[in-house]
Amino acid sequence: MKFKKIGSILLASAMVCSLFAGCSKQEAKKDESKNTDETKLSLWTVFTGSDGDVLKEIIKDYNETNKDGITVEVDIMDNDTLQSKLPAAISTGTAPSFVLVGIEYIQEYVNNDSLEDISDFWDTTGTNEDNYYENVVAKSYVGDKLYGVPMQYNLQYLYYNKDMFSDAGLNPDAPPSTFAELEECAKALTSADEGKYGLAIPSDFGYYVQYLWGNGGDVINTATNENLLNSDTNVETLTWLQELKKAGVSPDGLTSAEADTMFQSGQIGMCLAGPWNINVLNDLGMNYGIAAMPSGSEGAYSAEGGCSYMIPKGADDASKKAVYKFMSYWLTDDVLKEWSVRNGFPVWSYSLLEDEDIKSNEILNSVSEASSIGRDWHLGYEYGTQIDNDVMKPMMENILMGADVKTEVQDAAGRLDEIVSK
Amino acid sequence: MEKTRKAGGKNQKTAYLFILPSMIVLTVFVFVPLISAFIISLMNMDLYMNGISFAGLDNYLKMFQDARVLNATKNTLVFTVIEVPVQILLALILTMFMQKNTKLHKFLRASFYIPYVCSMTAISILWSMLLNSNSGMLAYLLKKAGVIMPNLMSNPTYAMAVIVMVTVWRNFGYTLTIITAATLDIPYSLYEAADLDGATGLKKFMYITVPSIKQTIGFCAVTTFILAFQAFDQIYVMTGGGPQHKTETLVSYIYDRGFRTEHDLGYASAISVYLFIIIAIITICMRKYIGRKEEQA
Repeated sequence: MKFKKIGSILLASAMVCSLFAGCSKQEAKKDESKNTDETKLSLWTVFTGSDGDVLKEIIKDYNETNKDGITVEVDIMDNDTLQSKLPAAISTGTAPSFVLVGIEYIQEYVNNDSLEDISDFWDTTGTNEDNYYENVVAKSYVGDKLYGVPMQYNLQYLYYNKDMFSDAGLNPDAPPSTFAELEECAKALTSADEGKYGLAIPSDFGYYVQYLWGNGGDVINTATNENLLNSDTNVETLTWLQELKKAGVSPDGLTSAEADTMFQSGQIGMCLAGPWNINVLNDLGMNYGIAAMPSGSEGAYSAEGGCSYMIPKGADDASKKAVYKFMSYWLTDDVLKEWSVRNGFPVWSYSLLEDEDIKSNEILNSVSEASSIGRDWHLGYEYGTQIDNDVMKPMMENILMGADVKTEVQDAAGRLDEIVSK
Repeated sequence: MEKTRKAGGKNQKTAYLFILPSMIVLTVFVFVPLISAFIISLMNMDLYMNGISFAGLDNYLKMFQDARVLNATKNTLVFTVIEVPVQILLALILTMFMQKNTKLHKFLRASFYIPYVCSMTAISILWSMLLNSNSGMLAYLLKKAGVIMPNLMSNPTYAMAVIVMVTVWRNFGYTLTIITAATLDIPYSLYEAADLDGATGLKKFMYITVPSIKQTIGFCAVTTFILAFQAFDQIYVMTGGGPQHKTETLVSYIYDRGFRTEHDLGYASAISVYLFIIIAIITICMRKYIGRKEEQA
């Protein structure tokens, strides 16, 4: 305890300069106005894209219509910034009322005792837990305790440009469903003279694990820490990807964000991305389709993702109660419907699935159909981020630059061993 | 005698009062963080403040076995060794044409200084967008001319060169302003005498201007060197330390370990102390070298 206190003082001192420069003034959890019935909540989140605008609109509606005097003030920042600010904010008692971040962080926060246990949420708010997909809700649990309330759920989908398919003599209503077909389409769509590429192969790791899974490979057994990276299956899959890249189907040094942009501008025929692209593509009036991740020799899998609302440790009862009210508001069919329809995120509420507008929404139906192949990649694994950054990203960069696949996989497996042996 | 001592004591008190604000600022923003960083480096401490314990020299031992620290040290040195001379040389070359105080020269000096006023983050975003080989303006124009531009920022061969170029582009205006200001103080009679001797512009620059502003060049070298060793914003925005950690400097690795992946403040602080020691040693050596040269002159 004494060490903790000294540590906090030292940390606060060491960070004082950067905090002055980089951090905005922390919102008070309680409104300073004299009306004690009003509660101000601060929310930190990472929705920097167009979906952030929809989120802000929904929150604005809530602020104007709720009868509990609750005002939610949202602060949107990029994920790196939030992840570096939040632990320090929790340690120094200046955390926001609640945060909205990826579900992959829950385990790490819980390991560090940084989140409030909100297992009483369902009973306190009278929200029916059984109305939501079990696999979605389960991702906010650690053990038998609830630490988050789901906000959205998503997988990676195959987006394809129907016009480019037609121009290349491919059937725009028959997207590739296997890796072999994906390769065929990617090559047919590629036209070096016109600067058109068939398939985005970014170096961000999340995209490759789906190819590895499809052919029966994997990176790590998160339950036993067994290193599964250095296998013949993985080497074969990665060699196949390298060959595809060498064939010129994808630009050099592509990031996933660039892949999205190039797909939106019609420079890339196919890309793997989450539902956040739908909103932009619709606004652009693009003629596109969505399909499930194609299957390899062992099936089709897509990396799961999602976001949950979480309450940082140290929240007082009044603030927690108000956050509960907002979270239960989010779980109403009206709000979930608006979020899904406007952003294209799959529906995960049973009652909402019966809604006529949802049933007749073509994009949502495509997304929902493609959402049955979700697979958990390190969502609750404490070394997940480090494996992505220190093992997989450098390995994929080297392989896509033409390095020897076997050597790269061996080196990466060595780095992976170092991380999990700590 | 007693009166004089009293007066001196009073003056001393007044003098201390004058430097007190600076001392407070220095203590809060320099000394306390510095000492804190050193103490934290001796502890096992993460960003969550859990399980804090005394680690002794463990973080330092770990640091010397970490290949990425070695890689980051190498990258930092490469960046500094290229960026500092290029920035000073560019400023010196431009100074040759800036030694007059006409409206045009003032305008040019102000124009070169503008990037320095902008934040490095904004400049880095701007250049990232310009140089993006897939959607950048430069790639588009080159493509129109039939040239396919390689992806500079994701290519291990070019990435560091791009970071250096952007840093020089943003910072050389500052060095130029300081050096030009120094050249304006050089007595004009020296140039007149050189003219009578038939010296060319280059000779006048080499034998009058440069020797006269040696001290200023030394100051610029030291400050630019310290800033180069602390390079972070442009790397974070443009390459994130990649590709293949080829642009990862010590500061970006400190950020990575302290705030991005492991949240290990003890280890990140140990690397900070290591960086501090490197900068301190090289700065002292540079100052001594410059001082000796001045004495010789």
